[in-house]
Amino acid sequence: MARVDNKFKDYKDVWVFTEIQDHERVLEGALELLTKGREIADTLKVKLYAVVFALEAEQYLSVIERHAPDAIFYCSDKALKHYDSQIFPELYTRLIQKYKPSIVLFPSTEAGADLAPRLAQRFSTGLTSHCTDLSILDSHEHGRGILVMKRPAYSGNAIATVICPRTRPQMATVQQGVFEKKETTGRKTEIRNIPFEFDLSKLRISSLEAPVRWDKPKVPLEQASIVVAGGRGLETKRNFDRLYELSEILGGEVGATRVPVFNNWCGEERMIGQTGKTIHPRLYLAFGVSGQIQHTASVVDSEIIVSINTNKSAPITELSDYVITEDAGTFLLCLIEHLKREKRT
Amino acid sequence: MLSIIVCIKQVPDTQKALFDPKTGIIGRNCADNIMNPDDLHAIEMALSIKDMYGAKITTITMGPPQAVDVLNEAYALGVDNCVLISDPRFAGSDSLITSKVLSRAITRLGPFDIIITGCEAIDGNTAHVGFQLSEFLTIPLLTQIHNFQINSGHAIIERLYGHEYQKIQVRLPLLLAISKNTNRVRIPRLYELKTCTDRKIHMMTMDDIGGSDQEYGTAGSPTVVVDTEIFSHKREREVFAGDCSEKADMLIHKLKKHNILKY
Amino acid sequence: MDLSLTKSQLMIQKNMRKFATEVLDEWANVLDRESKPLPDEIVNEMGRLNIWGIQAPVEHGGAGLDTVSYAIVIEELSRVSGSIGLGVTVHNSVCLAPLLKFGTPEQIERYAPDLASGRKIGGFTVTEPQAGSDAASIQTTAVLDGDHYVLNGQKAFVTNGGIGDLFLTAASVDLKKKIRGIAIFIVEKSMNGFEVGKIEDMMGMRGNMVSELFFNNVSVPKGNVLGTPEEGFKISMQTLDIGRIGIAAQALGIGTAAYEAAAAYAMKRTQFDRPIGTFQAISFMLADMKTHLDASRLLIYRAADLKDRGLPYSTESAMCKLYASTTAMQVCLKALQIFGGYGYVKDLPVERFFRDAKITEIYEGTSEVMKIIIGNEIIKEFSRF
Repeated sequence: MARVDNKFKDYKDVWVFTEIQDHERVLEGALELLTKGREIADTLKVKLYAVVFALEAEQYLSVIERHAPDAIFYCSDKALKHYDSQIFPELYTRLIQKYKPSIVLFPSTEAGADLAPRLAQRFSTGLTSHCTDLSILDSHEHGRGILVMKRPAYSGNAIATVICPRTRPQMATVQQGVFEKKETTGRKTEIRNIPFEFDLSKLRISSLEAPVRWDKPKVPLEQASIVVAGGRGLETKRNFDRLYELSEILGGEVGATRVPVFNNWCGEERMIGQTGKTIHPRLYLAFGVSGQIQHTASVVDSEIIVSINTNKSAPITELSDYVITEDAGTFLLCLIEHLKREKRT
Repeated sequence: MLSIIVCIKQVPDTQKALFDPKTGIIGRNCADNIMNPDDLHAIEMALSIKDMYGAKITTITMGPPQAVDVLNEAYALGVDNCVLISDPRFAGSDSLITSKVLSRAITRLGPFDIIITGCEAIDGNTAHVGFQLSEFLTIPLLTQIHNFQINSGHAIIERLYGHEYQKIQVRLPLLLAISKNTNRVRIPRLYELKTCTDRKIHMMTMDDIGGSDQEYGTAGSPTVVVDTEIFSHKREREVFAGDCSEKADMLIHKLKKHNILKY
Repeated sequence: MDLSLTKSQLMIQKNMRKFATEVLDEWANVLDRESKPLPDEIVNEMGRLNIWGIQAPVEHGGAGLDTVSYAIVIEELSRVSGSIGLGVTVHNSVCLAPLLKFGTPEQIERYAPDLASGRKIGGFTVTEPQAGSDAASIQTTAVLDGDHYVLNGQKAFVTNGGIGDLFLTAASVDLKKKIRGIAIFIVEKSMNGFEVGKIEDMMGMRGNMVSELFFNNVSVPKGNVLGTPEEGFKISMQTLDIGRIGIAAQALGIGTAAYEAAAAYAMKRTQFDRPIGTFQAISFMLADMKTHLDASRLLIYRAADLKDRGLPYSTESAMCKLYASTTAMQVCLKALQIFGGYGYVKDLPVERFFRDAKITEIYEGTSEVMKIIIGNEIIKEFSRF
């Protein structure tokens, strides 16, 4: 056991890949990780470093500071405006080689999911992705102060507990929303600028056209990751039609039970149920749906089910993660307004 | 003629695990072994490139002996060669070691113009292998492909990255990671379904790629799974309190936590 | 004896089921409700998959599958749509198969590739308004005139009639000779005087354009006689032996769909505080259904196996068709009962399975004719003693 400890005595400190979102703001998930990272660093009695690469990283320093790292490494350059898998791994590798962190945390985003495995390969070390829990453990067998990571496996049917006992750094990507972010004051944060050094002529991928902003196209109901559906409880076509507005805001598709279809509020292709479509979205919002078996059998695989119904004992509540006892039409209007307000701020 | 290699995996059918939404208990119906869904789409990508430009497609899988079943499926779809790399000393390999084995095998079998993998396996769900292969082989990885063309040693690719739709040029060789959203997999023809089980599968072991026992399997894997617990799918049935407006706010808050609404 | 399917047969089953559920399923109700045929792009895709030439030799564009695999394909297609299964099995078993078995190399080369690829769809026509089970009493005539025959007559209930390009047609070259006067002609729809009559408005199989055919002085070259002019009846009988295995598989597919739907429903529908499937009245029905369907399957595979080994199989073919069709009808009746009111509405496919199943007891030899065949075999066997 002492042998394990000695082997890693050079590696300490907790690092967080502080990702910048849309070159506008620090990613919420990164702030959450800084908060958790602070907790882990305190438990291990080591330091917390925030590492940020961006077009103008200076503008984010104050919000990062409020989440109490001991130091911020930042690098600014126009080549860093977007995450680039040809540049970021190289820059991070040099920092990790030089400073030897024991733990490196990344938000589980497109950038994090690219950067983390590449770094893990370069250091022949372990990476655990999409973590839903992190903790520190003193283990007889594996050593003191090791990171214990939990993540979903088997398509979400199991949770695996993973450790990285024999190599360093221990790496993890963490799903956003798992931890809460918290600002604290009173900690002195060292700010260190890292100069940008990279031979851009080495890049193998070149852009042929200026990139274009792009929103996801319509997908068939069966493949939609967000479905908002309406039933008898919406009462009128006018209410049902508001579902389209909601689905537009959320980036989803509109579905229906038998009633709206038979009332000609919408076409048959939107019907979800035994004789219609079966869906497996991440989110299923059911407005005024009572939850007869002919319908619910086709929605059970949804990750999150929210039901809005005036009847608090409607069959659909059995299946719901969140139950909202309100008039469907009224709540639909209210939700749309609140979401529109969110988007404006 | 382009040479393409596709990395595929045999996995248990974890998406068919039936659970009772009331009790959250899982049935044991995920025993069937299938080809990882993303990998089918990876093969389809290779076949589309072959249809357009002509290519020789090799499929490789790292797995136990019964993994030949997914190679039969690959033959049924229309690939030209199949390789099984199998060795008891590989047992317990994590994603890093899997990538190492595959990259060494690919180097032995190659060179290839295009290497294609699926994005994520439905058992491990790590989605590491594409990126780690890119590192081991030092070739660029492209994902979320919408359009793919080849022009004298270069690929012209239209792809999605974040909110951007990009058109880029990459010199071959390159690596593609394909997911279910990329394309629609063709149904194999009856003729190939009949003959696929007769076709030869090239076998490789640890001896063919070199290295020592310590580098592979459980011994060589830096991550260690110390526990696996069944995840309960029982529904929360959390009832929101407050008036309409408060419930709307609560819902929005929950959706952000679930990473469905972006901040 | 190993009754399990080979790896290859299992893959065929899995992939045909995938094709049927992903591509054909959405058409099943449309074809039934609007009584129209499959669109061309689906027919073409089926051609690419070798479904129009399942057992045809590879050199003619087929897949060269064994007969058990053939039965599996038909079953999987029929599970989703009886109409589609019917069109495929008639084209394969009673048009393409006899062409390959009895045709000259020239005839095969001329017609087989188009049929096996699905570029042309085929049928087989014997039945006339006054001649059903009594097939020998057909009245369509074929009069020899130099290097061609002139066909005159009318055919009834021709499967694939409305869309078919080519029909193996039974006509009499000499009415006085009865059975010995019947010949089979390869008739193309492009031939002058050939006319498609009324498309039948049927209880089931509504996705198949079953129709009348009219022959008004249709000139058919001598080279289009299949086999010899005296062999027509023999060819018909052997053709029907082949065809019955396919029809049995079709009936099995329909029955299996009904049974699986009923069993799933029985475990979801709760009355009196429990799933109705846990009441013995229902579970007993399901037990009967499962047993008879399984027995049908084994009879089909046995007949298929005998055929592939070149052994006589007429009786076994009649038995599997008799049993599978009777079972399909019984299973559909029970399934509808289990669904209760929901089984009676057109929203659910159960009533379509029921309507489709019935005809399997009638066409390609009624159940009564099957019993005659089997009975004659028994009489022959026991007459020695």
